[in-house]
Amino acid sequence: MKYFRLVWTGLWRKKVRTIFTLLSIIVAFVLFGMLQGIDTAFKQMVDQGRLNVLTVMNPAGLPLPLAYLPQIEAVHGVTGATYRSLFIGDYQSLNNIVIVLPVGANYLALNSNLFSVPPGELAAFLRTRTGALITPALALRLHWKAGDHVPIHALNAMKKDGSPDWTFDIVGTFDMPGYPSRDESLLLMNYPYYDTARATDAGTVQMYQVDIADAAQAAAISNAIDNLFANSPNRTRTETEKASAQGQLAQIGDLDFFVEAIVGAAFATLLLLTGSTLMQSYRERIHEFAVMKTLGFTDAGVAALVLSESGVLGVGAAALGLLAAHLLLPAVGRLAAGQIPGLHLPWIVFAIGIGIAVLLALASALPAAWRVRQLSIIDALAVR
Amino acid sequence: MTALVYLHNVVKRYVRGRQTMEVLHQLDLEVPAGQFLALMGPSGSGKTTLLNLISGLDRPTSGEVTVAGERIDQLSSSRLAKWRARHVGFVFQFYNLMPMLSAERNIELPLLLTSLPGAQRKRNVAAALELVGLATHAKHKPAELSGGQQQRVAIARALIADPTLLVCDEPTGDLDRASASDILDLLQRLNREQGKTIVMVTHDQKAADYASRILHVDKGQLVAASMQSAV
Repeated sequence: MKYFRLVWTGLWRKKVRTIFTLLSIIVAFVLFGMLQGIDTAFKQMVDQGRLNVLTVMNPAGLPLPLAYLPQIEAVHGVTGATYRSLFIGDYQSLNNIVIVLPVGANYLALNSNLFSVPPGELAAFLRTRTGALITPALALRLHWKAGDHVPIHALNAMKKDGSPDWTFDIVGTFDMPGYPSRDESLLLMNYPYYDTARATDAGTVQMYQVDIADAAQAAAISNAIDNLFANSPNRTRTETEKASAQGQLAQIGDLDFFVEAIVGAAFATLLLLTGSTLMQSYRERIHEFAVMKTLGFTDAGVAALVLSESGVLGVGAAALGLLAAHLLLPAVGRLAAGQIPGLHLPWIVFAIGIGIAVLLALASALPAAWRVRQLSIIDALAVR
Repeated sequence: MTALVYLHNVVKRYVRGRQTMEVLHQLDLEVPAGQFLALMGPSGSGKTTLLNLISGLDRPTSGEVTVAGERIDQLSSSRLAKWRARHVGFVFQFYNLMPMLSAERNIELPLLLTSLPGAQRKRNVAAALELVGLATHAKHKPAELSGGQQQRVAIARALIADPTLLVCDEPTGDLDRASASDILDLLQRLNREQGKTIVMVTHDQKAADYASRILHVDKGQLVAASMQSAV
């Protein structure tokens, strides 16, 4: 600790240069934290995808007729089927985005292992046409409570009367323990209210959810469902929930590759930048290092001071960058309108980031530290 | 007086490209403890090289260098650094202070290598500043001090760890006459009142006159000696 002042003073010898180096490291680690956070959120979505639950969607992304439901339920091996749609709206301003899920009457019952709803509130939801269940996060964010009558301004769902404003009666909350979506601004509404009031696509759903008894039969059942509608104008693509999540991820591209390429390029640039900055700083201070050695600082001790300077700068800036990413990720999640639930900076990413910062700091300072270690006192003192 | 510094048959050669230059030729020297020795000589005579060998900044090509009872020519680099920290205080012509550190932080530097706690280091630094007459300039950075004041800070830094030997390389070479006299008075007082052994390299006869012994170095050899009774 007694050497910290020396390290700190050395670091701020050229303030502007240090600030620019600091900023470049911060930016690199903000990028790292954000990309890793997004990557982690996507992977979490895939990980949480169930193998005994199938999703049935239109391969073209169009809605599917609600009339498919009894045919799907009749497929051998299917134990239950439900459906939902989705629209996005806001409450009072675009800062308060709400994701509205119109769900079938048995949606919550079929997902009882996913959703936790107090029985009284579930009953109220089912008997109230305009009833809505919301996540505790949404209730907290917008100060909503049961009994409130709230309007949602839809961004992609007009009503028959030409208004985009949907009104709901909050009847309670639902939770999704262990799922990142629990932190999103989700609102469940009754499908009949949505379907009868909307201006277009009446009688259709965005997707079906199908429960099957045996996950090993997932492929056969998926084929059976898709074959049912193979010659229909609204063909289906059925796959497990996990495969569906993977497919959505694949549409974005090889996210891992993009993340690694961008972060790798940023860190390689950073290594060169800080390495050359530290070498420049070393050259400016050759005389001072020689004096320190003269006073009795060992070769290794002076080299350790150089490495410490780099470490303090690198790790400090990385921590600031990761902290900024931690603060920015939820905002990005809101901008993505809940399409990437659970956007946050996991502690493991923070720890890996700090580890990378330590390695980068050491690697970039190594040439300067080595030269300081090898520095001849006599030669260095002779130069003025 | 016992010899604090003992050099026997010391040869120092430098290799510069293809050329080998012998700077010191089979030199013998003894400096008793408590002596104030001035080394004089023309530029390139080898006096600074001799000082560097005595202070453990450099090693002889051959021969023996024993200072404070230690064969320093045989010490490893890290042991030699520790030995310097314990036994030698340095005063240079151009002060060699750390420009970013205040006077007190400059003086404290050698104490960072000791196990003294922070409070004790602070007390010692205050005492050293008092000794060199700069108690009111503790927070000043080198650029805010005059040449004479900077040299006083350098002397305080050299003394702070209570070294066995004080080596001074042209300590007044960059100072005006008045400041130079102040510094030399201070060195002489340290020698006489505190018994510090001082080896000083100088071009200046007036500076050398403050020493109790003067040696002349020429072409790598000690060529003349004189003992001063008092100045």
